[in-house]
Amino acid sequence: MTGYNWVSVVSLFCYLYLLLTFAVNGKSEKVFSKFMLLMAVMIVWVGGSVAMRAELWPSVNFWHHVSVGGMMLAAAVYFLFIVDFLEDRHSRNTWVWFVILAALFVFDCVTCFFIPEPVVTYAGGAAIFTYTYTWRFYLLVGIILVCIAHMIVVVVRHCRGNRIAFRQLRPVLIGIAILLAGHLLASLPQFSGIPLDIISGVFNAVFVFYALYKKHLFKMSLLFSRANCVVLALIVGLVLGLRFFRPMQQWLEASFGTPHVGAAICVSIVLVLVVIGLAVIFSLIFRAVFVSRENRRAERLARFGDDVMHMLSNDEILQDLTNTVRDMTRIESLMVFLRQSDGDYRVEHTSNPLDEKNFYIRADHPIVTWFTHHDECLNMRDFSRSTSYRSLWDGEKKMLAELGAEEFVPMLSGGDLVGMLLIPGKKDGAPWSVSTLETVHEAAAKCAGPVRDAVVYERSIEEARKDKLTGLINRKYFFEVLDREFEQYKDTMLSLCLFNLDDFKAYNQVYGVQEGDLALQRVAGLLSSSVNDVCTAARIGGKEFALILPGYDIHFAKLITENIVEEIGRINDRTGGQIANSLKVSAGICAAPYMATSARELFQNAETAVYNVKRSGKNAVQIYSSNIYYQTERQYKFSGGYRENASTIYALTAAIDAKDHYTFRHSQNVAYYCEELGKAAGLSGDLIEILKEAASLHDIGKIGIREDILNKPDALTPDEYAIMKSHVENAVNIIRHLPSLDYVIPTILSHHERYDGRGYPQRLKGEEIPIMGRILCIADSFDAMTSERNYKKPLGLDAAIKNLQDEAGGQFDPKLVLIFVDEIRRGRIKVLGNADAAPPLPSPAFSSPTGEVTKDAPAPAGAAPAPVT
Amino acid sequence: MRFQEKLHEYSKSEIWEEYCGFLTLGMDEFMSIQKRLLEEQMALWVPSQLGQRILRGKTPKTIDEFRSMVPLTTYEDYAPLLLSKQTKTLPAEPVIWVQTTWEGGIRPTKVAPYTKGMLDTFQHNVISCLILAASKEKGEFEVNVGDHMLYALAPLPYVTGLLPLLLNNEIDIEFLPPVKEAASMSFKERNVLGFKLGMKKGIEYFFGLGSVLYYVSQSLVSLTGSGSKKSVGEKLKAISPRMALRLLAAKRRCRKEHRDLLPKDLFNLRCFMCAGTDNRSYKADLERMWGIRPIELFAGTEPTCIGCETWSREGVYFFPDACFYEFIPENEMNRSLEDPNYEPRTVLWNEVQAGEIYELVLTVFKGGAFARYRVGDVFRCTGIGSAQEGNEIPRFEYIDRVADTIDIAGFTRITENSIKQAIELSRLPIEAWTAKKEFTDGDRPYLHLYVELQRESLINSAVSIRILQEQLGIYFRYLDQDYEDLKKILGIDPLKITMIKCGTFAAYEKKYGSPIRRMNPESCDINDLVQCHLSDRVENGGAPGDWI
Repeated sequence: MTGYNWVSVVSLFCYLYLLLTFAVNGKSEKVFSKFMLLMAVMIVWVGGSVAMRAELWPSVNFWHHVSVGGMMLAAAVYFLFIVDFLEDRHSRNTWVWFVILAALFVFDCVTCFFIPEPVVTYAGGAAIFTYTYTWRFYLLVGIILVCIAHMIVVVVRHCRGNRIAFRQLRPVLIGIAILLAGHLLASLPQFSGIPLDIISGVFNAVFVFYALYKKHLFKMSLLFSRANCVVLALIVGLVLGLRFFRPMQQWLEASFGTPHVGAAICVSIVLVLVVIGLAVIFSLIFRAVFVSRENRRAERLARFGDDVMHMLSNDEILQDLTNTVRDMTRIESLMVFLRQSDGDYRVEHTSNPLDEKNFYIRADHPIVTWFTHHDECLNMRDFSRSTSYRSLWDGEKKMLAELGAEEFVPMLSGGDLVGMLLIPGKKDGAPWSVSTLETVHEAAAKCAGPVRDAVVYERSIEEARKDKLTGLINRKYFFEVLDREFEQYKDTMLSLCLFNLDDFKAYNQVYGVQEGDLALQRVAGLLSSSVNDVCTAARIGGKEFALILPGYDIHFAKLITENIVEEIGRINDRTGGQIANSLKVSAGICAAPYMATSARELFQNAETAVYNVKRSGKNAVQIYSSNIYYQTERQYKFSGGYRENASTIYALTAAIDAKDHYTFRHSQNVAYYCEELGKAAGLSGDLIEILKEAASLHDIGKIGIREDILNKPDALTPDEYAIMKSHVENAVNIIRHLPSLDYVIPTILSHHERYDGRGYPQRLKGEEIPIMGRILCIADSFDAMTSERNYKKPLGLDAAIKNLQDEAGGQFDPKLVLIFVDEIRRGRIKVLGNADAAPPLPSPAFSSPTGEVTKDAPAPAGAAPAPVT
Repeated sequence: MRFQEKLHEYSKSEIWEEYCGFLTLGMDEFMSIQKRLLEEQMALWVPSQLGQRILRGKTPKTIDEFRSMVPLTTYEDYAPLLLSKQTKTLPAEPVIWVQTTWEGGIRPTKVAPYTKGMLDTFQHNVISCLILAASKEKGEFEVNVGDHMLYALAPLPYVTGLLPLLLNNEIDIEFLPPVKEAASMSFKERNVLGFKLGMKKGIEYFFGLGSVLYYVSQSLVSLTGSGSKKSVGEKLKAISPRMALRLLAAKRRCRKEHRDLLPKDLFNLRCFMCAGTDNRSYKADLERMWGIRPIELFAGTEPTCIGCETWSREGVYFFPDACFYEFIPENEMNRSLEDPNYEPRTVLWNEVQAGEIYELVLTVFKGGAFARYRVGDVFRCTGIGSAQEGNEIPRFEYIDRVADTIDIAGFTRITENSIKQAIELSRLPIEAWTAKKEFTDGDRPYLHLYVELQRESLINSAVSIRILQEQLGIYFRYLDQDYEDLKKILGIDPLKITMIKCGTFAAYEKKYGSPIRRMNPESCDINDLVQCHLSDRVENGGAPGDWI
């Protein structure tokens, strides 16, 4: 074949390839059908020309007419293509030119009126085709030019004042210009023998193809699909077959004496293998060059989708989304809005942690409405020109301008708009590419479902962990956090501050419950804002708050707590300092590892400190310590808390006495044993006072137990025993209503706990039981053993001591048992037994305001020691 | 991006969608824009001092609460704060204050604050008007940079003075004469210079009050007529060669057709806009003179630009983002005229009925001062949905001012108080009167004053109709600058007096149980009054036409 023919064949295959690409992939838009028609016409044109030059069957004249038909219809099809490409609605009867030129073609086929059939001559074996052009040919050219002129009119009309349309059409116009120029030059004698017309046709097809690509009507990967690789291999195989089938067959016959049929089969097999091989090679090449990029993108997105499927934290998902978007595109900064429980969309995540997050988009925002109908990116420039934009508030417009919003990307999960991504504009003002936005859109879509699930999960977790009124974590979660933090910081520093609002019931009565709730919220806000993110604030009771301060020593914890107490005092300061019923708080601090070896001990010690403040006049801060005593008195001086409580305790113990004299006497005895054991154990004076009061009231719950059970001479039935056991909770329930005495609750509540953890009601173990509870337990049991009851005789001292020693580490704290037994043996603690030694009320357990124990209190004058046996 | 840049950057259909897309909004879509923007306005207006003054401490949270808690307001409710320009009491900081006549003779001016947001919306809607005025069908319009507009409206501080500024923010349209020069010229000077420049450069747009457009159009004819003392050569020198050729051809054609030269012979007007009252009276003549029918737009000092007709000229469509619209049905409006203490019920834009008449109530968006404001204009809903325009929303026709105000050709606002004052100043012995806006056979508006003189004064006073007309005219002009402008600018004396026989008003009251309304009584009531006058004559055996 000559070079001319080779160019023709190559261009023919180019057209064929482009045609098949769209045919195989089934693109349905009108413009593609016109493009395929255009390619078909070009194939007919060039194919006819090639076949004619090759003098293929059936005849030269047949292929001449085929080629002329392609040429004549090309202009009309171009016209159709451009109308569809421009989406020009004003052009009507666009098929007229196609019909006219098709009719002229048929007419010419029959009459050869416009273009006469070529005369074929041979020179040196090569065929030469000679055409004789007359005015009729130029008439045909004129008609085609009118068609082209019409096309130009349509283009001008459409593109006037519309730069975008013109920019889109520009490659097509360049292609047409090249096509016309190629044909013009080919007709000049200087370019004789150079197939400029054919080459220009190929260039034209490429430009048209590029125009479609630039209009984002398809992806480049379409051109290199697997099907296309096969098609391309087949085309090449066909060319090779045409060129080499016969020579190879002859070579086989000549060289190896292979029979004719056998040689043909061999060559065919080789050709098939070559086609398969080519298809594989093409596929690999395209994959390496073009498709791999697309696939890498798809794989990255798929991996991202898999990753986020397993995440239950929105922070993680959104961080992964940000990272993925940054990796795959040039987008540096983005902002994620997520739907909140009120329907509004708030900024939940920004690529730059320093970005302000205080923005939100209302649920009725036109952008949100837009996304309910469109699952695609929203360009703000386009949106600002829509009618919906007119309903935007000025503030909303300002916010979008401040954020430099260029694109919004929806996070839609099954039509539900979970959130939105805001992408700011590029610094140079250029728009983001379609492929970039597609990537972000796909990534956003992939994480929409997981984000929605994570929101639900986080919300339910949060609801379970948070106190609804204040937004702080609740009691249950507080203990989890405390345990966790203790484990982490037990070897370094961990402080715990507990706050108990003073006289809050009265505050509620004065200001109303609503104001009380507000006060609680303000206290919560104060606690949250007083510490950094490492610390945790919690509401652990109706009026009780806690601060876990990991890494804080006692000194800093004290400073923080004092500041908070001071600020709380100002919460309802509405009169410039002249406060009536201002909010007050008692605070206790304990720190590990100095003063606690477990989280529970840490908590209980802090609680003890709080109750000690309560008992000492409230509105102060105290650091727990059995040796170190620190107390800061605030503006309200301590004013004899014990004495103030005396009348209450008197009333309560009188009630016990009236109902059950034995219990009353028992309480007196226990108070005495507690005081003595407390002193021996080294408790501070204040703690001893608490201990005595708790001891006096520890059986107050028996007021609610039936007398027949209380005084039953026989052993209790299981049901009766259960009722009897309830006296501990009864006692707590009674004292709970006496805010001034609530500091004794922990001691009373824990006096039936066992050191081995088998006690009740909380089944506390070892040093989890408050020390005062452990002391009360020993005193209570010892007095029960050494006193006579309706159902038993008193034990002797030795037997009682033996019982204590036997139960050391079981029911009792072994260290305290040692101390107690030692004190008994030394005679420092007298055994009271059933001696009705109680002095006239008020109770001898009460101390003076200064904390000194009155001399006449514990050991009743003239009390005989308890019988030893 | 300015509008003129968009003309190059976007297709016509895209531009149409941006500026005129509201025409094809659904009812719900339109209302959702209205309600959303009202929520914004509530957030601004309710806590402001102005809002609280009207709300008396109430705080509406929803639109329904807003409509029930905010009473219908008039300018009197705002006057103490607005006239003293107390900006801190307003919902938002104003950028500019515009003014207009409040009540002829009594209260000369009222002012309205315009915020940045209001001006932005105003600007957008003015461009919408420009496109609609230049349109021949949906999506098909022709607006070009450098077009020329003959502008026959008042300069700043009137609201009409804002239009050139807003238009020029978006597109380089040349105003004839230039706005800065026009501000210091008399009305006549402006017209002469505008015409001169138009003859040089051409006129593509023409905008003004209907009455003024008519007057200016007639002036243009006379300026090109034979009455001018300039020679043909001088005339041709003053205009562009293209216009000179057009003038010569037009004169030839007019001679051939035996008619006067009309503006349409010289200018190819593309965009013809009119505003104000009584446009109906002038539209046919204007169409005859210019070859195209003017399109009407609604704009006012308080509400900004709120609506515009389309190429179909079937009625005005309201913009969704200028104001929140409420409408007082006709019967409710009449009841409130009879009983000023009555609070009429309102309906929303999507609740109007085709063919019904309504008084407009507005809440201005974007930090505007006016809420549930009775702007004093009456409209008829001419239809809901248009096949030609492919929409389903209501359109309106401007009827007139509410009955207690008589507006002549968009120039004056005559109220009962201003007539009373003119009568008192004139010291004419008028016993009783009623005033009605009526139209001549040529459909021109005038003020018809039916007066009854004091019987006892007839012997000592000269009180012919001419005297009454002249004297009252003098005092109307004295009291009301706008009334004087009507005479000075348009050469119209719109006052007509009819004398009614003594005792007729009393007879009417005796017969119908209540006196006839002072301002704009119904035509049937005027007929009844005349019937009383006639029957009284017959009963008393007097000579016909004694007093008329």
